[in-house]
Formats: sequence, C-alpha cells, structure tokens
Amino acid sequence: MIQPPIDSRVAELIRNSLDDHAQNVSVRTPDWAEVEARLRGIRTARRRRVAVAGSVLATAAVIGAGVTAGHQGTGRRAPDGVPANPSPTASARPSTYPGKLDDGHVRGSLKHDTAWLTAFRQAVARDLKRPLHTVRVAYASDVGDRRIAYVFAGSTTGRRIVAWYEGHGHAAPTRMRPVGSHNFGGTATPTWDAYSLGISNLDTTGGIVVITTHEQTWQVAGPATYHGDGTVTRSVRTVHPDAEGVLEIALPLDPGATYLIRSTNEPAAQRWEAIPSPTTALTDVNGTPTLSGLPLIHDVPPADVTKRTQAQLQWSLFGLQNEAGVRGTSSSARGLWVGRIGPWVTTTIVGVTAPSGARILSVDLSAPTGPSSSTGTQVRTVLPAGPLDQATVAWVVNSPNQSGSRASPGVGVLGPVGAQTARTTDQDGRPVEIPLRGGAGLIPLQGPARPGAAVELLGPNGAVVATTTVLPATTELPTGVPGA
Amino acid sequence: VSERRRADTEEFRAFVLARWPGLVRYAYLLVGDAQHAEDLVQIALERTWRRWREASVERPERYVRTAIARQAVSRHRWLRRRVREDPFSEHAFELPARADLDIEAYVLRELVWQELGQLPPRMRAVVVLRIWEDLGENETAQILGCSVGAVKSQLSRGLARLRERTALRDAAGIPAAQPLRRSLRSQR
Repeated sequence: MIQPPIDSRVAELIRNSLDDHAQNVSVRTPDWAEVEARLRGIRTARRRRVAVAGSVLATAAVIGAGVTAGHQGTGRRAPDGVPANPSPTASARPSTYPGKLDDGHVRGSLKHDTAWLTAFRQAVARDLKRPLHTVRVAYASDVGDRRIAYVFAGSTTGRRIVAWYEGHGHAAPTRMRPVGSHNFGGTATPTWDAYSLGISNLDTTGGIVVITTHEQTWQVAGPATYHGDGTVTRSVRTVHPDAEGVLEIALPLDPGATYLIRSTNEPAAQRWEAIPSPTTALTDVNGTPTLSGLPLIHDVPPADVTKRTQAQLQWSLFGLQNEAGVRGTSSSARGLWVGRIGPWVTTTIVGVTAPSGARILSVDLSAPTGPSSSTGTQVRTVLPAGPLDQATVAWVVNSPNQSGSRASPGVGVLGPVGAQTARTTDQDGRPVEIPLRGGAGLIPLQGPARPGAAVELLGPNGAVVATTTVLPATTELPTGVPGA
Repeated sequence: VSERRRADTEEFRAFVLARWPGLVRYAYLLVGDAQHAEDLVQIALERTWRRWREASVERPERYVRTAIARQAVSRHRWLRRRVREDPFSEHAFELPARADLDIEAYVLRELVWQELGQLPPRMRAVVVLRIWEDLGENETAQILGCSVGAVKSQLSRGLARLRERTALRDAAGIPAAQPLRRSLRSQR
C-alpha cells in the first residue's frame, strides 16, 4: 500500500482535529445590548490601561495627533511644492474622514526628499493594494533613531485608510512597515484624533510626533515619581509645534515609565493622554512574572489560590504597573490577597513598592467570564511608605455590570496582617462589624456604601490596629499633573 | 453626522451578530479556551468599531481576524495564559456519548488537539492559519505581522514537533522525523 506523504497525513490530522473542535465548541451569540455592554467595558479598561497596549510590543512609543478643528489656511504652513503627493483628482470621491491633515502637504524632515517620498508612496500603494494616485504622505521624518511617516490612502468607496509607518532611521522606502492602522488605535474626540504607535525593535529612543493644522501649545509630562509621603509628581514641560504644525520629541527609552501629553489650547483635547510605554517591568530576565512562586502576603485559603486566580493577580499587576508607570528595575511587587468579596466576583489585590517606599495598591474585581473581563470596578491608591503587609484599603463594592448578577452592596476591606475584624457605620450611624477571612472581607450594608466613611481594623484583642477611609468603587491613581 | 453614525452602528451591529460564532470559533482554535476566545473577539471588535467609525476599515472580517490572531500571539497575553490551566487538555478523552463514535479516530483528534496546545502561540497560530484557514504564506505573514520566512520556519517546526510527539506518532503510525526527511528527499 502506498503511504501518502507524511506532511499531508499530519496536516489532515490537524485539520480534522481543528474541524472537530471548531464544530463542537459551544458558542452563544449574545444579543446586541450585551455586546455593546462588553465593548463599553473593554473600552473603559483600555483607556485605563493604555500603557498595557504599549507593552505588547515591548517598545517605545510615538503619539501622533492630528488636530482637525477647522483652522485651515492660517498661512503658517509652507506651500506644498513637493511633487511626491498627487493633486486631488476629480475622480476621487470626497472622504468621510473628518481630518484636515490630508491636504497634500508633506511635513517633516523628509518633505523635500522627492525620490524617497515617491518610492515610499509606491511601496505603500503596493502594500495597501491602492492606486498610486490615492496615496498621500502627510508627514515623513527621522525622529530619534526611527523614521516615521503618516499616510492617507483613499479608495473608490470613499473610505480612507490612515496609517503610520515606521522603520529604522534612514530606512529605505521598502523597509518602512505599517504600524498604526492595524493593531494600534488611539482615542478620538470630535475635534482631534490621537493615534498611538508602538515601534518595535527600538534600540535607544522613542518619541512623540504631533501633527496639527494650526498653532497649539502642548504639554508633556514625564514619568511619575511616587514620594514616601504618598504624593505623586511629574515634571511638566510646554512645547510648541514648528511652523508647519509638527512637534517631534525624542524620548529616552525608559521601560516602565509613562509619559502624558495634552494640548492646552483645544478645549476638547485638554485631557491628558497616556503615551504607551514599553515595559516588561516586574518580570525577570526570562520574562517570568515576578508573582510566580511568591506566596500571597495574606493567609488566603489554599482553595482560593488556583491557576486562574494567579492569572488574575498577574493581570492586575500588569495593569497596575503600567498605569502607575513604575520601573521594574527599582520596584517590587507582591500579591496581597485573592478570593471572593461578595457573592459573584473574584477580587485580586496586588501591591507595588516604589523606590521611595510608597505603596501602590490595586483592587480588581473580575467578572466570572475570564481574568480580563472587568466588572468596571478597579480601585487604585497610593499609601505612604511602609511595609506591604500593613497596607489597608477599603472600597465600595458594586454589582457586577456584565454578568447580570447582583451582589449585596457593601464595603470591601483589606486590613493589615493580623487584623481579625473590620468595623464601620452605616448611613444611619449604626456600627457594622464583620470578622475578616484571611485579612479581607465584605461589610454588608443595608443602605448604599459611602465613600469617605471611616473603617477600623481590629486585632485579636479588640484593639484598633489600623484605620482607613472607604474609596469609591472606581478610583484611579493620582497622576501627578493638573487637570488629569 | 448622527444619521451617518446611526447607519454605521446598524451596519456594525449586523456584522457582529452575523459573524460572532465564526469569530469565536476561529479564536478558540488559536487559544484553545472558549472564554479566552470570547475575550479576544470582544477586544478585536472594540478595535474594529473604532476604525469603523473612522471609515478606515476596508475589509472588516479580515481586520477582526487579524486583530484576534495578533492578540492571540502577543507576548503579553502569552505571559498571562502561561499561568492559566492548560486549556487544551481540559476536555481530553471525555468521550462523547455517541453511538456512531469512532473511538480511535476521536482519540487521535484529541491527541492532536492536545499537542497543538503545547506549541508556542505564534507557532500554533501559523499552523491554524495555514492548515485550517488554508491561507497562503504571504497572507499568514500579513495577518501575524511577521515575515514570510518566519511563517515557513514556524510551520515547518510546528509540524516537526507534532511528528516528534511519541503519543501522536504511535497512535497515527507516523514514523519519526529522521526517516521522514529522508523519505521527502527521496520523493524529490
């Protein structure tokens, strides 16, 4: 009997196995309201964890912002004069994209390099499978040790592709690679769009690129410093785009550090945006998460420490370290507690100790559908310098908003190691006291929990060993900059 | 603008509801865990929606699948998954109660599934895209954001690993890799 080629047999086995599992996996199509709720949850989590997205590439970052408010033709920008971009053709349908940057002007240090721009447009046209005359370069420049370009490409349907390209400094046109249009997006408001761009294989620098259509003042805030008294500060500098509306800032590669940027002129853009930061912080040289193998600080029942809850702890730590902007080389992290506080959700509490000794805590409530499915409840707080085993935090517990279940309203609390009882008062001033389980627990309340209420933690002899105040169900870290 | 927004939303809603099962199945094959697969699909759809509103998604199905695949192989998620229970072995050898079940074939398919779960995420993704999705090397490379050479080497190494697995080799009667290479050379 003739044997079929072995690769075909293996491929057939694989195909059959995958077919089998694809058919047998149970899939329920949710209704649209549920999908919308899930997308909202992801959007919220993403905005809180912008820096986490940057860590996927373990790179430095670039933000490009195109201001789209209607201030065209201020006369500040030099006329195009660069034949690399085509004139608008009568056949091109008007785009629905609201941006004003797609005006035929090339900005940046390469604007006069006609040969490079022409070759680059040809490469982009091939890459995007678009006619050459619809590919327009709005910006091309060398920033730090990278070459960055911003491209518009039209289509006959009226849709438009907006893409960032990047390569090493002085990269040939064919060596430029699209980055921004596929995996990375940014935030959008009616008046401006920001596109974050992770740059892979970055050796020494990252950077920020801002492209505007009119004069604006921008502020860039450096990495956060966590002081021993629990305060947070950042150095803020004001920067201005050049005469063409381009702002380029090369930043040192600083894994774990998070930069912020905002425009001070455009009302809708005055919110600080986090710049994705490269980080594999708090992992060892092999990429092993530092929580692996370390016991939790609190004496949690072994049944609660499963592989899934360990994953949730790791996920919480990723979120915390990226939001906090702490450096792995000079900070340490520990899992404090994991388990159920309230009937439906898993609560994970992790802490990071900054170089000053300040403690940064994260309380995450995960929905039962997976470690990354947030219920929308995340509490972040900074405590003054001290040991992590003495950290105390209390927060409002709300119902999960995605699982359709209901949890009793109350106050979640984590006390210092050794605390056995937690006590607070309800809205009528009546004391409510509960025993802690492994140092944590839920204080059930008849009425709504009140942020700011005092919570006392009592030791075995009934003496108060710590006090804290109740934080809102969603509490973000202080950013150290005004107006954040 | 609001009319345009409503139309976009309606178009996106129809797309999501029509493609949800297919996308979850696709993600499931990449990661081996149904809940994780749903997570990936949601994240990919959220990204797609952002692009959809900007009218910059030409081929939404392709865009979503690319986002799912890239999420599935991203180092960040890999680190997270590494400490999770091994999803691929979760249901191994729980024989379904079917009268017409070919037990040997079923066990073999489960073995393959289990072995796929042992492959690194990117290698597994290449195997799924090339063999199950039947995509070409160029398209696979574009989706995963890597070079064609990387796709070739990942597929080659993935298949070699599967061939090397003793359990799979014994169950399928596949000879070890060394004779295989000789046999391929002789075929050429």
